[in-house]
Amino acid sequence: MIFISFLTKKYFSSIFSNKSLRLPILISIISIGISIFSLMVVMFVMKGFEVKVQNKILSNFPHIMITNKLKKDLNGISNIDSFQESIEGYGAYINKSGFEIIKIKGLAGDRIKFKKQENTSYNFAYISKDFSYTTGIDNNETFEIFVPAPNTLKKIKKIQIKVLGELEIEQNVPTIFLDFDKAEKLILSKSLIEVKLFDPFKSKETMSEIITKNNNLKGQIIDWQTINSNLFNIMKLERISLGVFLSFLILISCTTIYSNTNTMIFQRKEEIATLLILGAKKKDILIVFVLTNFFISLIGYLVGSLIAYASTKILDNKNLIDTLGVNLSFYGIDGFPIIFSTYYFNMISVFSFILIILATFLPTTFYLRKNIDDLIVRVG
Amino acid sequence: MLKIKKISKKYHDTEEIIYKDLEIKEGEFISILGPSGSGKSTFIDLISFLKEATTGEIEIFGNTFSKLKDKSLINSLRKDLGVMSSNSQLISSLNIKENIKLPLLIHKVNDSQEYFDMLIDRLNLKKILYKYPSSLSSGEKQRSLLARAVILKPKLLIADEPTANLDSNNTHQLVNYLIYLNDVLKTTIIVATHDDIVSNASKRIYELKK
Repeated sequence: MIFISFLTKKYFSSIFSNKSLRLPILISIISIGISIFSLMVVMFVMKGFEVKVQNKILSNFPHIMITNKLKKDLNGISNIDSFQESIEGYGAYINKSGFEIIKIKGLAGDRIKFKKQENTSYNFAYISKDFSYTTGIDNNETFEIFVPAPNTLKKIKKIQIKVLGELEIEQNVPTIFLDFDKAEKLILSKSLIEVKLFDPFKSKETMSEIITKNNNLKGQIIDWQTINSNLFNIMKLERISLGVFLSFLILISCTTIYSNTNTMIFQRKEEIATLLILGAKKKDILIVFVLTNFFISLIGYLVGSLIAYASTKILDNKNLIDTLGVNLSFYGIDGFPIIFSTYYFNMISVFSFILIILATFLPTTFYLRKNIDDLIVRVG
Repeated sequence: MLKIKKISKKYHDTEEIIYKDLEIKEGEFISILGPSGSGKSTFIDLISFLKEATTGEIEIFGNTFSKLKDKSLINSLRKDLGVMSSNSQLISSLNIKENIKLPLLIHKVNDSQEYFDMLIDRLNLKKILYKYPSSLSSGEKQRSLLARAVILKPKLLIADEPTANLDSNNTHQLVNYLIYLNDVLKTTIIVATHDDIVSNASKRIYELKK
């Protein structure tokens, strides 16, 4: 081991003073660095995007929805945080520039207090923040919306709304919130029960528990994972495809390591013969060359992964998007979608190390398979 | 110490060098002489296990070899076999001190500072110990190679043209050390040479004809 570590250290430290190897080695370090940086950042962005979309879904939408109107027994199921009856439909708000599609949501339970409606043609409602932002309507103001009415002559009816306040419940479209009973009369949709869970990732197990307790629910209950499975599958496919294609960058970088190792060994083949004449084992010489080139590649790996890590942290914490003035509100995502993922970091590291070791191991074994005599260039 | 029996080496299926049988006893100093192309270097390569003989046997330190298949045995023998041939280079990334001490690391042998000091003193290497091979003259390189070949105090030293390209001063210095090795340290020496100074210093001649 002393011989291996001594010679590896010497070969490694002398590599940058070797004029013919200095530039190709520098190029391979840079190419390894860039490819690892690119692969890591892309995977972290994909992961960040997926997590942000998932969080958005989990915070804005129910984790389980039950469409059956019969009385349900949801008590005693430990993962259920809360549940409430709701109804959803769509309407239009007409302003000066045209009309805006809006969501009308009826809420039951004690979460929101609605005023009792006596002697007034207005329907009291709360509005979502983006509704207020889009229409410019404020508290206590009144406005009109139009909802489908297929049983009437005009097939549409006008509803007067008076704003009680803004609600922090995020929705994917501007929304007005009405009392459940009122909404049930105004819009033509089926009511449903929205269930929020403590652990949304156990929605399947919780759903099974609900079905076990309520035999009549089969086919009328759905969880957030099932609803969004297509979206998550597409995101997963996109992530895998990008990962595979970008992995080729590392593969290409490793060909430069292969070429450098080949050159280095060719230049030192007489030294290899000398080491064998002095009694060094082929296995030890193999380890020396593999380690020397591995450490060179490790510089590229470390540079690439450190820059990837630093970039991820900067983009994640400093809210660079705001500074750059990039508008991501279209996606409804705050900040840049990037998250450092230990899983991807480890996967990319293992993949890179395997390729680097192969790129150094193969040319070395090729030369060491030869006899000593074949390694010697005789002069005269 | 070393016996060669009916060994020959074939080249390109047409040419063949056939060597006379030879037995070298412990403590001998033998010169291999012969014109260019007579097979001196090949003989050195065969007895230092760099090449495989086409026919015949080589017996060294009591072990008989006809083929070089037993690599681990050959490797273990190298500890007692100092080779200084034109094929064994100095390692360019190591300074002279590191080059000389390299066999100690390879064979995991403890360093004897006293022997090392004596070696560099007798071969006049003190001033170049921390220099790298690329900055040395031919004489300095040859002396360094000799120091490395004998650092493990081998039973047998095999040298191929150790004085090639050396001036008279360097030649005498090197030959004096070979005599010291043989007389005082009782090292058996086999030298392939053209140089009369070397052959005159040896105790026996093995002549090859073309």
